[in-house]
Amino acid sequence: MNKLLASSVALIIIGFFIIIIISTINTGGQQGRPGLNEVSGEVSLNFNKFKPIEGDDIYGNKLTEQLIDEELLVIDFWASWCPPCIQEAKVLSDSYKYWKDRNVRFIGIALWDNDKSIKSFVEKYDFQYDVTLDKDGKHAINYGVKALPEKFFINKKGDIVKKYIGPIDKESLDKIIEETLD
Amino acid sequence: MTVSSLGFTLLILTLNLCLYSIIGSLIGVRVSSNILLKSCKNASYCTLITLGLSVACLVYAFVTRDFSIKYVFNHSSLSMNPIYTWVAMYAGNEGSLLYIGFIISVASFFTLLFLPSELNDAEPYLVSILSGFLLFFVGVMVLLANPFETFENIPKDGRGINPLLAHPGMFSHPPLLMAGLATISIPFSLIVSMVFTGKFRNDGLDYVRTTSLLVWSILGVGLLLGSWWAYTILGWGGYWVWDPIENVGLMPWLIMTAFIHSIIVQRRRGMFRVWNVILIFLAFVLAQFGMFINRGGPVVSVHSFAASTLGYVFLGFMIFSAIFCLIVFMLNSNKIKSDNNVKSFLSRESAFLINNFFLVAITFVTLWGLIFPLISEVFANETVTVGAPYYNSVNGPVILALLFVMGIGPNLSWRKTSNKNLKTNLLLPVSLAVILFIILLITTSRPIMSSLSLSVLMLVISTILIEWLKGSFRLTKGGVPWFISFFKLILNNKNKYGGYIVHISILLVALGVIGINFYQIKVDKVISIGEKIDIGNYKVELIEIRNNEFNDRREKIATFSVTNKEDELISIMEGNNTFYPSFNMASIRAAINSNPVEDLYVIPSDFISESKMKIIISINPLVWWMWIGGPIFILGTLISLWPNKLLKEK
Amino acid sequence: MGKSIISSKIIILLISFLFILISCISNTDQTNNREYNLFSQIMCPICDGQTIAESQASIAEDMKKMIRDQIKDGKEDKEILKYFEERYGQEILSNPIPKGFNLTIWIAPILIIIISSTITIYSLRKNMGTRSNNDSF
Repeated sequence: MNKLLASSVALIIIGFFIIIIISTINTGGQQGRPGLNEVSGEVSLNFNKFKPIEGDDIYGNKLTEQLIDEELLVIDFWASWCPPCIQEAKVLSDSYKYWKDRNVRFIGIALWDNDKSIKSFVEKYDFQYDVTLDKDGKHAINYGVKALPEKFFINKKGDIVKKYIGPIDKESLDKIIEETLD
Repeated sequence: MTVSSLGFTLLILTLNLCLYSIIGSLIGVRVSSNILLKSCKNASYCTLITLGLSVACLVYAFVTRDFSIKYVFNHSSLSMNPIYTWVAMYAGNEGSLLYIGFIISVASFFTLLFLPSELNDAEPYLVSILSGFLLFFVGVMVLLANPFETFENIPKDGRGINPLLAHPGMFSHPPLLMAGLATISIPFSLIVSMVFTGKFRNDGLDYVRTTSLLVWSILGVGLLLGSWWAYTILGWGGYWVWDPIENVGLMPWLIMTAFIHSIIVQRRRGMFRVWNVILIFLAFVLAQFGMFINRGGPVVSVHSFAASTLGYVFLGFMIFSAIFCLIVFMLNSNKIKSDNNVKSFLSRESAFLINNFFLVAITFVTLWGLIFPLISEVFANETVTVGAPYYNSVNGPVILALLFVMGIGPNLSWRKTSNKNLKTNLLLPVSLAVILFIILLITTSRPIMSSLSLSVLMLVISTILIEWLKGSFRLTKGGVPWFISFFKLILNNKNKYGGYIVHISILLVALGVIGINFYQIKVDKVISIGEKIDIGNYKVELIEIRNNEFNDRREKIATFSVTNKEDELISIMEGNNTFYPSFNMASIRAAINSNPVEDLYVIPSDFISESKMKIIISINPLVWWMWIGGPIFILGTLISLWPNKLLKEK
Repeated sequence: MGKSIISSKIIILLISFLFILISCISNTDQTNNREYNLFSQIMCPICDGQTIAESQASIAEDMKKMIRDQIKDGKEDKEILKYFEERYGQEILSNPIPKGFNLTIWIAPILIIIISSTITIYSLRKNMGTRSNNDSF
């Protein structure tokens, strides 16, 4: 009886430590700044159906509703005040210019931001794709955005294929787009 | 020589002193060399001086704004209020380690200085364990987290202190909490060294009790102050949200509470020896767990030190201390048998046992909630959050049962209580509690739990008061006025009545918790200048919104006037919402009008325009009592701790 | 005689205390607080352990606004929580959904409390009355 008790208690304690060790290794013992994705990588999806994005872009033009007519849609949640977004701005701007002729469409959705700084950001980095201001974070919540930047890749069928968080580099972006187009 | 190199040199010196006193004491015991042992003890005393000077160096660097030191750069700035430069040293990871090291050396100093002669042969072990504990912290600082690390190019201005910390609470809550967690090592090492010498009997047990009471009260006051800070200033609308960091501070406190109770039984009846050893080991390991969670553990929390990479080190130390405890326990389990067994379920000792059981149960429930997200992630591959509802629903009933035992316990006598005695003692409190329960059930439409918990509270308070009043009236018979006999009674049995006073303070805290949990009213409103909002018995009007711009922050202050239903002015109160652009963080101070019945609590959550703002208004009944509980708690602990000798001399 | 005076004093004191307590709390009546209850069931995704009720972060404010809008649209609490859970995963909820593996969070502590209390009572029973040699004073 006593032995049984002692061994079960020992088992619980060992289990406790194993769990703690595993999770510490998983998190790497580090956390980033709140609200910003500073580490990049693909993450798993909570849902995989495209949710329509309606509204006007920053110049007051209606965003077309048939977004998924294209082969591939890339939705980027960003903000002009977000350092990792500034880091990846040139990559996005350049790769859109490369991919736009191949039926790839980009949309930038700016969060917790104002028209003025978005416009100057768009002009500075020469974004040629549609950029809209997400008032009250509706789109962001609809897509389950936690921190900036986050990107969603949506194929022709309207399925969200991939979600990428953190600043993206040219190679990863091209690779994901190529994979999705196949 | 610069301050930074001086400070670091002192740290290295401390490291050597620790190493010397550990190794020296162990050799000294082997060869029974008294001179060596004495020298090791003195080496341990010296760490107080070296670490004290090292702390002084860091404080000096902060006060003189020496931004050549990285730590100073990261946690202070030119625009920061000078008064906070004195305490900014424990605002971050490295400095708080230094602070903890210093506290350990202070505590070891006094522990060794006042060590009673019965424990003389345990002293070498005590010195080496305490030095070993200190060695860990100093070692981490020297090797991994040097608070005195410098820049090559000296920056002009620092980053500034985390705005949430620039508050009077900074002077009391973090230092007390850290000190409490660190000094659990004192009763722990006392008991380990007593076990080593095979002397875990009644000699020196009073000393263990005194140190544990001190540690326990420091931790308790630290927790309560944190709660008060969160309630008044951070404006999170809560005094306790079961955040992981709060929990890891609470768990050792709960175990220590169990310990200081069961050690009474050991002293009186020679029982629970094994159990006491287990409890103190558990408290120590949980305190290390707290340090680990605080510094880079896998659980997210609002108040942990940002992005610390020391997680693995503290994890390692926690596992090391657990294994150490296990080995000590297994090797010495034959030395710590109890003399007696519980004779009856209706006895004081069984009440203590039940009290211990509930306290450990609460700790377990809390720990389980804390690590469940990790378990779920590993086994079910799903991330979940365990928030306040779980803790409230599972811990609530256990806490209530604990309070109930607290009411019954003092009425039970040692060994065995007669049923008749119990009946006469409990008749009045129970009937009062039942009356209250029935009245509450009829008059309010709240959940039954609220009425139940208030009735239990009534029961406990009345048993304590009856016991007390009976005693003092008995003394009055000699013709002494009752209030004098009331105090005389306390002096006659300080342990008992000090304990009662602490119990009363816990009940007051419980009263506040019940008030806020079950009887709170809360609304979210948008309010414009001149507009009045009716809530409870109050009318709240927004009078003005002021803006103040500073170098490092934008302050928005809202002034409210509070009137009663007849439009008579009750008070004018202010709440502010200060935004710190460099931290992208707002610090919110709630406007509070407090009285013993209820608090009117207004959080200025957002300013929409110059004349319009969003507020959260709540009425928090009985919270006032919770903060009154703090001073009473300290008073009770002091009464129990007050040495008998001093009184006799008077 | 003296004893009865004492106990009547005590009774008067305690009863007055009882009525003070009752008068303190029974004058506030419960207000329906649907909005706030919902807020405290949803975690702020960027604030490390705070619910949106406690947080003033921009995303928390947006979520509050969205919840208010959804309430206006006549949605049930369950639907609203489901909306957030679908998008952010279960970790957005401040309380795990009581099904499947999550049930262990409630079952395990209750089970352990029951088991350990039975063991304690059992071993106390067994030992009660034995080894009374030291108990001679």
